[in-house]
Amino acid sequence: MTAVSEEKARQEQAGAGLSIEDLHVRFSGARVLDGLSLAVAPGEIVGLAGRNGAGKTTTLRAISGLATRNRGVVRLDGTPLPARPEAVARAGVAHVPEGRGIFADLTVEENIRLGIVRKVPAEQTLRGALEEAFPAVVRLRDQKAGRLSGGEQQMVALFRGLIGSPRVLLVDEMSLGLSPRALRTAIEALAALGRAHGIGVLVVDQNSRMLHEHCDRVYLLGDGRVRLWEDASDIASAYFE
Amino acid sequence: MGLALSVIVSGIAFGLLIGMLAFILVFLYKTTGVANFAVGNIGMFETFIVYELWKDGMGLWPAAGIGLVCSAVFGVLVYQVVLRPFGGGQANTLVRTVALFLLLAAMADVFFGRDQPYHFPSVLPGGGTKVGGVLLRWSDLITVGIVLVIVTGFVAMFRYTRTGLQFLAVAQRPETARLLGVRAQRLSTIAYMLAGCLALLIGLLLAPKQLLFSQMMNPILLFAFAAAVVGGFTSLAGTFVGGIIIGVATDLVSTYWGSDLTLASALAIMLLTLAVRPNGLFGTAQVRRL
Repeated sequence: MTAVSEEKARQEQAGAGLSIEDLHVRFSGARVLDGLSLAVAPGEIVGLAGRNGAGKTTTLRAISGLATRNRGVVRLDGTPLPARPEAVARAGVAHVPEGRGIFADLTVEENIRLGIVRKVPAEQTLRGALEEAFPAVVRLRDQKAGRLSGGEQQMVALFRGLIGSPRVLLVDEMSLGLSPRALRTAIEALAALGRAHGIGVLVVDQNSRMLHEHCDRVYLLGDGRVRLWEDASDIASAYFE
Repeated sequence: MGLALSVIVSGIAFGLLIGMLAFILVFLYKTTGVANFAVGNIGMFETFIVYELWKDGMGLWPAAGIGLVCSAVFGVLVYQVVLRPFGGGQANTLVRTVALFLLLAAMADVFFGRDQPYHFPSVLPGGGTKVGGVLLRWSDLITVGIVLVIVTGFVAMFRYTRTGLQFLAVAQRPETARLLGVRAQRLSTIAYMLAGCLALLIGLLLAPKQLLFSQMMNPILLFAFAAAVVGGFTSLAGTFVGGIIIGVATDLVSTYWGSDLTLASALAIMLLTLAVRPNGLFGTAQVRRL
């Protein structure tokens, strides 16, 4: 067996896309994540819901390496992800962080250029497809990003997250600052782009109904672990137990 | 009137030197998280190296060229050997920069003799020209030109290169920059390399005016600190405006009221600015939009 086909067989066995197994994260003794496992296949859009403080943001930060993983493995296409955030990004994980991480003093175009993490030929970026999906961003290209409205900044953050054609996109606080209509447009665009380009998308939000409506699958996070969202009665148990 | 204008022109030239040192402090602060006051003495030490080469019979320009290469290496070493390996908090790093500041001054005394101060040959031509009764020194005009070229270079780097854009990203949001694959340590190394070279340049422009000795950078370092604060410690452009304000004001004060008051006047301007605008002239308060 050649090294390449060996590598391929191993990937198939381990599962392509993002997979998290038995993830534990502690903050000064407190268990925030306690054996969390989930998977996002290429082209799939997966939701992660949970009440405030359940550990949704921590889950994304642990994937990216911003939070220390105390135990467990995070794999991308079968290969364990490194610990340092910049290395995770270079491996193909894009992360729209809590609060969007927009550089207010830079222009929209400069913000977007920073999203091209790996050196790729211009035609391999998703710029064309993104400009179709988020026409408002094109119009704002030369504005200082700090002058944009919250909703516009969210569009820029999503645009920046996808332009470098990552393997996986993590989105924190998806609905932040977006009107219900803009939210629907944005998440539908994410789902379509992910499917078309084989990008796995993991979306975090408090609104599990909205996630359920748009995602292939929704996990509920509670007590540091996740389980699959089955029906509406689950919301009550996740939020009020 | 002619005298006042002449003083103002030389004050602007000196102010731009102050501004350049302030720029290095703020640039390092924004890219590496620590304002490294040792850069003053890094420049002093590098100027001594050029002086030693020149004393051994080398031409001043070749010596300066070799000094520039040494400075780039020196900057990288400072970051890789003194600052990077130990981690620790900001206070820890700050203490290490103070230690480096003192160590370099002591090493200059040990290595370069106790006959200091030395006369340093001027890199720039002497003399000047009179325009409408105002004396313009060639050295001042060339200093202004050099600083303008360097500023243009930095602006071009920030605007047109990927590395420059990453510098701005790290300066504004270090954590998000890492999520975008920016290798902060690589950028910090480049920042220190540039800082080492600029520090030498300041030393070379300053030494002919005020002699070469191990403590030569102390006054200008205080001026630069005041300039950085006046400009708003986080604004790169503000450092040069702050530098010019401090340079012109201290030159006027020392001409008309005596040089005893120069340091005091710089600090007074700094305190006044803080009283009126707590974030400096160009600094912004931290605002978060939800």
